[in-house]
Amino acid sequence: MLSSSRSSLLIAALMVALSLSGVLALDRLGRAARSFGVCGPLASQAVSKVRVAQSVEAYRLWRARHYRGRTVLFLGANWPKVQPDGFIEPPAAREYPLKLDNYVATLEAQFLDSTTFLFMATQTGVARRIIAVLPETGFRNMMEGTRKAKHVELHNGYLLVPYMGYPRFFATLKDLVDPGEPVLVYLAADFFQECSAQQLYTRLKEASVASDQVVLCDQAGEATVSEAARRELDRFAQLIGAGGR
Amino acid sequence: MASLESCENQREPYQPDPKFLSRLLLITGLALLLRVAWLWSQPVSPDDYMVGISAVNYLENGQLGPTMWNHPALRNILVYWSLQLCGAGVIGLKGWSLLFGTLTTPLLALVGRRIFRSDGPALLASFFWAIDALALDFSRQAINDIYLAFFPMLALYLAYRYLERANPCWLIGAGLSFGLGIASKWSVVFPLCATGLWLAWRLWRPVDTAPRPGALPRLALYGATLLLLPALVYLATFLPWFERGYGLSEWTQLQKSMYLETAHHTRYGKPITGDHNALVWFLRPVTFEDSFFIAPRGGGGTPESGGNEFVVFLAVTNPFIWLPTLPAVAYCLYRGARRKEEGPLFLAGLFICSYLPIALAARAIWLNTACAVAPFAFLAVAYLLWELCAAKARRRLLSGYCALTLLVALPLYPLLIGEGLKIPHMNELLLRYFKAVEGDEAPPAAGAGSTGNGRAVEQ
Repeated sequence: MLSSSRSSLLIAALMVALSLSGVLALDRLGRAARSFGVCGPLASQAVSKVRVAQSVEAYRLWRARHYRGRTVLFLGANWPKVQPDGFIEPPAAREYPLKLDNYVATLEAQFLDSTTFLFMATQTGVARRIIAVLPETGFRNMMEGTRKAKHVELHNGYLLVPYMGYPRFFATLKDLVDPGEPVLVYLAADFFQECSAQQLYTRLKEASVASDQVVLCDQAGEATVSEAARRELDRFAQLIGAGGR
Repeated sequence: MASLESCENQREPYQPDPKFLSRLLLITGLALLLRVAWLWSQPVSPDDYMVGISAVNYLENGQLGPTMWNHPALRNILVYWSLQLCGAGVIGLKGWSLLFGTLTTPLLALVGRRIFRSDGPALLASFFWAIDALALDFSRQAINDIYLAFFPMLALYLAYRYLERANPCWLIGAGLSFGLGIASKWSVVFPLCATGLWLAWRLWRPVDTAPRPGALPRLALYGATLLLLPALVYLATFLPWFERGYGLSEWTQLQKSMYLETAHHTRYGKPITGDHNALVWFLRPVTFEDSFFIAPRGGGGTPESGGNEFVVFLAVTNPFIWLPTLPAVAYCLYRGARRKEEGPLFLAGLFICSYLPIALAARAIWLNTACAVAPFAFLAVAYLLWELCAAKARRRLLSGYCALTLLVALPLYPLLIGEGLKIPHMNELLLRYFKAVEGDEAPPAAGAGSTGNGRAVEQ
């Protein structure tokens, strides 16, 4: 029977130790779940650089290489907005035993495309957070569009708009800072509508962006993407030592 | 019951009812019967289905949602385990609700007899829980609101056991139970606070004997078991989420997102009126309605509804149980203060701590949240009734009251199990209800058992 003052204190101390260990263990477990390739500055030969025609190929590449728990650095003119609420509704016929499919696997099988690829990356666990670097106009539109969102924060030029708990940050190139860890870079050709390859390269270098996987996307078939923008993407590819189209 | 004697003040000798156990078993049997009857044929609501989907999503992908992502994750974990163990049938999906809803019945009696030092009101509260429409409704659904009644009651029982036995293992159990409650929904924090304050107050309350030694070490023990342990349990239920690569700082950001979503949850566009105003819950009968379309087994739906059947689960609060609540709580306060009785005061504190934050919330609160308050309300009502009928001559009055309560509960039962539309006169009442509550949104052909307006038709 533990009823004395000493045993009360002993149990309290044990609880404190258990709580601290539990907190640290969970934090460590989370960080250990992130999977990286060989990381380095963008121009490093060790960093994998891949040119794709469409954004969905970037997602397939990430999945094929088993990236998990990562930060995706999205650089594009347009944030690929999706409305996932209506993706899966309960079926009309619901009889026991219920058919309870894996939600994410169903989403991936039915709805993966060039618009949903980033959303899928968050759902399947490739990305645990997204930093989207948008041109000034795109960023302003995002600020305007999320004014009534339930959770919006603006710190040092970074707009945080989580969706169902997973963090999404929006920023412009001038406010980009070191992400704090190697990121999966996704660069869409339309990003070059308002900036040059050299400007982008310089800013990424200034922000100490490191990566293990850079994906350059031509956005083939998208009428809004100019040929000049794709040529700028070529120049950026040369700057970081990636192959051309 | 020597131990029970020791845990409370000795003002009146406690006289245990020799038939307490048999009566409690009988009431629990009734509770179980009402919870399982027709459960296997009860249509699966969209919420039930999405609870299953969310459980699989959380344990296999570490992702909260797709439904009710802003609530903590214990339900996902428990339901996933039961789905794995029992398959995707009734038990796999609703087994925990059924278990917790049923077990709350004896727990109410066990806690009640310790609060009141009397078996009569304890058994009466237990009886109310066994037959109440809201308690029945959420014991038969997969969503986790019934957990909010079970875990705090279990924790209170364990806290009382600690006081009786002076064994910290019981208090650790109470902390675990509160932690599991908070990991179901945050509203369990309120009874936890009330319990913590009550236990702390007991360390310094004036007593006839010499001052009790070791108050500070025991306060440290309370802090560790009732603050740290529940927090750790809560945190641990996020393990699948951490496995997605998240760290502690991101977890705190997630909690903020969950809080903001919960604080501003207006998804269905309902204003703070009618039954969504928690202030009226104990002033008039209120309802929790879940209506949906489902493809009937073997066909039978009408062409207007796309071949689907319209189903309504309607839990209507029993006025004989719910309406005396506020006077009953006031009586607990009066009685506790006047006679310096700790139990009724503590019960009033539990009710006020649990109800006030909900009642003062700045958004619509659905009646499902009342599962967190109802056990304390039922205990208070049972106590008031028992005290009013303390004289033997008035016991018949109490029996009559119970009979009336049961009589009212009978027609409410088909409504809550989704059979209301199949019963001729009840069908008309339901239609009137829809017109009154939903206005223009009332399903035009609800009386015929189906409409073309609903979620499932949109497939």
